[in-house]
Amino acid sequence: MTFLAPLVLTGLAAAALPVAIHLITRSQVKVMRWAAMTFLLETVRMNERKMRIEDLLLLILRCLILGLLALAFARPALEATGRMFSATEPVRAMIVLDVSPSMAHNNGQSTRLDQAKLEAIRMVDALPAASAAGLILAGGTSDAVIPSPSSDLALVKRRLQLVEADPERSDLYPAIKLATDALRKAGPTPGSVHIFTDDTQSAWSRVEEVEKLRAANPGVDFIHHPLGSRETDNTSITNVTMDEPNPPAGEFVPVTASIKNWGTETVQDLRITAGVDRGAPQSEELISSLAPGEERNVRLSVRFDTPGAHTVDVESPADRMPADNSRSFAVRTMERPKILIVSDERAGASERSSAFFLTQALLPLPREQRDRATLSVLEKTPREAAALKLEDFQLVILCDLRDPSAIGSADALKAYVEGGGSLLILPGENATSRTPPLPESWNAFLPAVPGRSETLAVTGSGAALQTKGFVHPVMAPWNDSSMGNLGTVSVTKRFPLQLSRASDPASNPATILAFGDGTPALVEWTLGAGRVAVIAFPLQSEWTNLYLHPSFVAIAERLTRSLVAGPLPELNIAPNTGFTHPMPLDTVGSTFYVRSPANPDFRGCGQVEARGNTGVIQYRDTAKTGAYAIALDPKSPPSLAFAVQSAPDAGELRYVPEGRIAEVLKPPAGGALGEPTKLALQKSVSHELWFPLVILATLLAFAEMALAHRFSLPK
Amino acid sequence: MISESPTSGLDPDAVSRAESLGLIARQIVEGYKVGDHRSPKRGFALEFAQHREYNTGDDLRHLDWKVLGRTDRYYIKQYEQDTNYVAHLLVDGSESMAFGSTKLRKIDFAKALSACLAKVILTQSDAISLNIVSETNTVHMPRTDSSGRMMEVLTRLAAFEPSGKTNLKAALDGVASRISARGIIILISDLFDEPDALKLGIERLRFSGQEVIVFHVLDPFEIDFPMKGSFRFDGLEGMGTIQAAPADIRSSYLTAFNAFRTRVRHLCERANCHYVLANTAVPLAETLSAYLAFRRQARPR
Repeated sequence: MTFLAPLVLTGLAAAALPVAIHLITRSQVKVMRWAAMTFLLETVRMNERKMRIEDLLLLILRCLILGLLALAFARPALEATGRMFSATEPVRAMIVLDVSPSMAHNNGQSTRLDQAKLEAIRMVDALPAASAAGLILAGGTSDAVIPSPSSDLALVKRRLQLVEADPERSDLYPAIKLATDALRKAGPTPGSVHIFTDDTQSAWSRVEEVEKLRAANPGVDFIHHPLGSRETDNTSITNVTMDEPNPPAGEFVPVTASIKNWGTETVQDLRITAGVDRGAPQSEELISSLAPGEERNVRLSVRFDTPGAHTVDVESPADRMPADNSRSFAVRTMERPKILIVSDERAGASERSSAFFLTQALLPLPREQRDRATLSVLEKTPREAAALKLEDFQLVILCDLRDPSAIGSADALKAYVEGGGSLLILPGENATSRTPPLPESWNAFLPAVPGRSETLAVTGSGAALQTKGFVHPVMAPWNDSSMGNLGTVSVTKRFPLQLSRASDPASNPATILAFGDGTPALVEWTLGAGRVAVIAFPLQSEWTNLYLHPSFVAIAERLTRSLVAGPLPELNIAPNTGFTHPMPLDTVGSTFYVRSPANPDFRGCGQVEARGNTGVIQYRDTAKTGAYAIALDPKSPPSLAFAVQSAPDAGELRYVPEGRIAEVLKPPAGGALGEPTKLALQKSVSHELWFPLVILATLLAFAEMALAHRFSLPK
Repeated sequence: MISESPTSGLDPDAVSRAESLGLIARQIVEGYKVGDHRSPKRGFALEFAQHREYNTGDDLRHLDWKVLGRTDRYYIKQYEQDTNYVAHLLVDGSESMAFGSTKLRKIDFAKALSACLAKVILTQSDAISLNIVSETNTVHMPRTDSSGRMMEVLTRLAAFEPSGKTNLKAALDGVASRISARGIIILISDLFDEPDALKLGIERLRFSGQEVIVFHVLDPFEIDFPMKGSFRFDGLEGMGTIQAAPADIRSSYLTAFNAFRTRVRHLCERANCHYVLANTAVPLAETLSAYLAFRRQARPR
């Protein structure tokens, strides 16, 4: 037993207060000459013994209450195996707090992080006078909140209270190193590093390096504060995906959610729901049984009522780690996009042209029903197209034009793209006679420049297209074999594509589809607010049989929707990576408002910045996982949405073997722990007893009141 | 305490209200002159009492001629004879009467009560005798029916200071031994003595035909015991000292005290005496007039 505030023990003198009051009041007795003494003597004789016992009992109770309160304020504590400071010399202490997702594990009353904060605050309270402390958070990155020991211990405690769990798994080593370096830089007075962690394997992934660090710093004590039980049961939503990168509004679209059981016991009846924009669930699936370690994909469906920015919210029943029981996925839905197909011959006129097959693929409906299609497709000749405003169309497809300049100047096309339109260019038979196949002036906006056509069908079977390892979102579904295999597609002629180089390497062309030999077959890039794609062959029987493949319709639609959507910024990001999104130039300087998981209402968070000839929104506070919405007017629907997603394995609860950390952090052989640091480490407190004492004093106070009331009843 | 002037013992309000009511003897008294009260003796007045046989020497004016005419026998008509009474004022002069929670001590109240009663009785041509008794000091003023001696009564009352212990039996026996004719004994005391002694004393007086009126003089603190805080009680009449918090023992005290009062009242009622509680907090005029009015209504005729 020890006292954390021994000076308060002087308050035990207060126990003598009732006796003093008794003596004082005794001296204030009034004197009265009394006639009816017989009755008084009789009364007193009858009650004297009883009253004395009662008075004595009340006196003892009152002394006891005051004594217990004085003891409670002195903060008595039971000694435990940990260590605490002696109340003698000032020390320097660096607190390393693990804020990984596992620290949000809840034992039903409080999270591990809450316990860690409480214990760290107690430790700071117990520091001897004139001590200093610092605070480093170990999350996805090490955050030096108070990078060096500060004598402002109130600030340390305040910052500790504000700490929140990080959605990324932590690595303790960089944080411990930061703390050790801070102690070394702080001066010759030695110190200690206090590590508050739940000992997950990921947090101690570099335990050997910590061991080396300890060995290299004999003047620093490393003190381990383990937290929480080693419970491993947890289910989490590890991934949410949508087949359609830009799903149409008003239709049910599929959502795939992956659920994993990280625990050691089978989970029964797991109800998975999906909703849109934090609304009520629109669909649900029941997983009747999920074995330990099993991950299962669940197909759900949602519908977006309006075109624009949306988030899909998938949820599973809350468990001890509620943070990973919901996951958001941001998408952008479109209005009925308008597509212009420019071809020398109308699609109806020639059933062998690219325009014909593209039109059939994009509008796989009888001509009279095409108004109900999700895409609006218009076919025009170059002369007719020249009379139209290209800006009225989200996508213009140029199919093997005899005179490419008929559609407009290169500058006009480039301006159209930079203004937000998209181009899909299919050079064909007409281009074979030209050198280069496409006008040279177009090179300014082409992601790849087609070279002279070449024949591939040496053996008669042609060249194969890529069949696996699709990276681009348009073709990603074909990584799943159930979508079909492009192995039967052959290309007999092609224009070899020479990839262009962008000034910004991040904007270099992306290959959507490649040939079997890895050379690009379909390439796209982002130019301003629009996109340009070039394919190495037309959809003609002399060149390829792709249009006969069952996947052609799906590929054409996905490609079209992808291009119509313009550049696809990453809407689903990892924590703390920041969100960047291009904006129209006329919005530069406008304030943007963000609704985040931390702030359910829109708050002004910055201004649209100018970057080149476009605007851009940059939002960096993406520490919390969940759905975010951005609006330029907080009263109107959000114009952008994105989601911050934790790593799929963030819900895994695996721990380092028990005793391993104690072994790593034990003092060097022969060196008495704390001696070089003059940090007299004593046995620390495992349980403070002030609370039970206050409870006991309160109970005694109630008992005293009850007895006093009872004793004061007429005698 | 009443001021030094003897006449200040007389409460004008009490006296005037009491005079209008008067103190009429409830039972037959043996006076020594004609008065307003019934006497055991027969005389010749207006109210017929009985017949008796004629004896030689009887006045023939009282012969009942009608009876003689009808029966041929000689009978003398006798009538009720009214007389005066002697009221013996017996005031407790023990030290316990010196208690008072206000300036008005019990003895002061008793003196004022005695003075008023004396004044009323003398005014209606009856006689009084005054006895102030304690173990150590006794004042006795013989019977008088002269209003002119009222000043002497007042002077004696004013000059007395209580001392010594109460001995009611001795006081009552002393009075009983001194008087032979039936009259009224008015005991004014706090009765802080053994109730048995009081009982014996009253019974003896009652056996000798005296009417006894007991004025039980008590202070409001004795009746209600309302004090707060801690007190050291120094007992009068050498009863020792104790320290107590009245609030703690109030209930027990009041139980014992009320039991005492009840017992005293019962023994008075059993002896056919009037018991009057005289609370010194209640104005004397109120206490006295209330009793005299009650007495007037209860007068047997």
